[in-house]
Amino acid sequence: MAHWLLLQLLINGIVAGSLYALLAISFATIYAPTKTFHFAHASIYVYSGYFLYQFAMGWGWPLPVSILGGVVTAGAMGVLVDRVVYTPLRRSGAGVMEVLLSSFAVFVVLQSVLLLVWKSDPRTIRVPEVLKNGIPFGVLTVTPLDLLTVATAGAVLAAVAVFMRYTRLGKAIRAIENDAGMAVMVGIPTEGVRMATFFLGSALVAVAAVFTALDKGLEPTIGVQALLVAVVAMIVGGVGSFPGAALAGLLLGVVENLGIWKIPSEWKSTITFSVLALFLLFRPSGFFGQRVARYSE
Amino acid sequence: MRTNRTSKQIRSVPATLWALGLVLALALTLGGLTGAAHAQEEFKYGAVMPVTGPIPQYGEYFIRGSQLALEDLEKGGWIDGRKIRVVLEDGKNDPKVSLAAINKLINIDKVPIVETVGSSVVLALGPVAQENRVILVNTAAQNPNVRKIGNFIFSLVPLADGVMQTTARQAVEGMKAKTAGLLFVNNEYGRGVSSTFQKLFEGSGGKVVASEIHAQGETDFTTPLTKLKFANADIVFFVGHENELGYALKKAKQIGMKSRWLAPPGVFNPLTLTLAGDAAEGLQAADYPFDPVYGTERMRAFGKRYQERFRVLPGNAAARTYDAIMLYAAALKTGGRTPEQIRDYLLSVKNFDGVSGPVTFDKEGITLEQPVVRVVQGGKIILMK
Repeated sequence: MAHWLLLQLLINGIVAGSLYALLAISFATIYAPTKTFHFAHASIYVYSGYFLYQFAMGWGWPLPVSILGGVVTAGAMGVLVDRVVYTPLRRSGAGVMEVLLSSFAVFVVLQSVLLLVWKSDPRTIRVPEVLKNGIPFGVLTVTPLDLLTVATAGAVLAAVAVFMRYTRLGKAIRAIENDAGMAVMVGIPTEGVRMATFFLGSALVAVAAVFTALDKGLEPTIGVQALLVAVVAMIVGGVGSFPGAALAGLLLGVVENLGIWKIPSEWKSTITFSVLALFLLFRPSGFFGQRVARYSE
Repeated sequence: MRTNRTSKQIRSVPATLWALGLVLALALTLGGLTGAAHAQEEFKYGAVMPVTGPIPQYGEYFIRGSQLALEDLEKGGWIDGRKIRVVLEDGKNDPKVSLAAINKLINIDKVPIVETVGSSVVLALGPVAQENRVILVNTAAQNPNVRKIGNFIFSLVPLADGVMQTTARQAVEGMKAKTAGLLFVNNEYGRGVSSTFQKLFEGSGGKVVASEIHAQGETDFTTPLTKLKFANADIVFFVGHENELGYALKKAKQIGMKSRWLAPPGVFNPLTLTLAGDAAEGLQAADYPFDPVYGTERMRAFGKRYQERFRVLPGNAAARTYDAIMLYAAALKTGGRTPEQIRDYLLSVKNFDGVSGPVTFDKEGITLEQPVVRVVQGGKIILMK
């Protein structure tokens, strides 16, 4: 029986990990090129879930349309936060710390607005039952939604990888990440690219939020945990490395779930932070630290 | 006196500041006067509630329950025309934050009575209230240690030491369970109630085969439930809040768990059923008698009014808040003013006609209310014979 449990935990870990990978990539997409520690990313995450709720349950739109609406609205909201808060601050000479603080303020304000608009009641989104009822494989179970989560996360991550590597915009994002000053000199419209990264990062986090909302429901407070996972995964993967962040996200999910095989499951987040601590001690540049160094040469 | 000193201080400053100073002084005097007048007119009812944090639904129960109580008191002409004002502080269900809040209520607002919920919070605030000789009313905490704090602590909720006897009996005799897995919230409520249950369950020949803990406000129960599923116990005894229970039941069904579920009192409410849907089917609990749909006429009237007003049915904590404020008002009507007089009134009450049921306290200030056993059947909460 025990090894079956281990296998089930591994499956759970891969499902959780694929969402963590999305979270990590979404945060890295914004952080790597703009160097903005976007704490309000946590708010975007929560809001995109509530947008989905509003569209699907409040206004009765069909689920696929609501999901698309939630993702696009979240992207727009990310750009809005940058334009209204970070960019004016940056123009008046604010440093990294000021922007971080303002980001925290945005988070607090948005959290309160959320409570005003949607109240604190937990919300669930009605999903066709077939998606959620487990398919038994002997003693193991996987829900179709789990499979959909892993498949979607894989597809989105692959699309992001292709986008970053082969499109002009993707290349521009990587150029700015590499050397923002040089990027301006060679004529990259950095403000436009900046807006694109905020849109992309926010839309990506919305994808993770959508799956969380569909599977587990929504509470106003779920954003911070998601942000922490994203940041830890980004650091463990090596700041600036997109494959690294994705892989680290997956690893975190698996380690978290396997780690609690013999100890109570409340220790999950302790495991997350132990992984972070180990990496900071022994490999501070993360999985793909080397490659980051070569980029910046 | 005040104007004198003000003019002396500002003798050597420019004219604009003069004017400003005068306005300020005037405002201060006026503010002070009206403040004093208010203090004389109103009685205060303090509350430390989790308006935000992991269980904000309890903040909402309080706000809504107290609103209805105040409306009724207003209709009845208050206490000889003197209003009751609710002073609400957000404790986030965090003992540290709640301690700061109760100190503010006691020292600055000078309230004679404070209502609060949550075992961790009640156990933290109890000694402070006791020391300051201010009444603490508990409307939702079940940890049996609440009984021991002191004679200024009142509980409108029966504590786990009593209720768990019925619960454990239901597990052994009603559900014929030999083994149980525990799933409880990581705080004084979860630990206090689950360990009380475990002791009684194992005392009647049952065996606890697995124990999992979840965080307050948890929405993802995949991991603890996976482990409980593989422990394969006859029943799962869950201790936590209604939102957590809703999510847990739903997940249990999705991963194909076969165990039947038993819950502590108070979590059988509309929120659980909304979140869990048909996954709540078969859930049992030794529960509070309050039932806004099938209860006594008075309960149903309260339920109907609450639903018309807020478009949801009341949780039992909302009903207890209503009763707590009505009890306070009744104490004031008898002429009680100091916390000691209010305490003596509360102890003397026999079958007070509350919306949560008749209220009588034992000599330690804990309600004598007896639990009933309920089960979810066909999407409805049904009383078991």
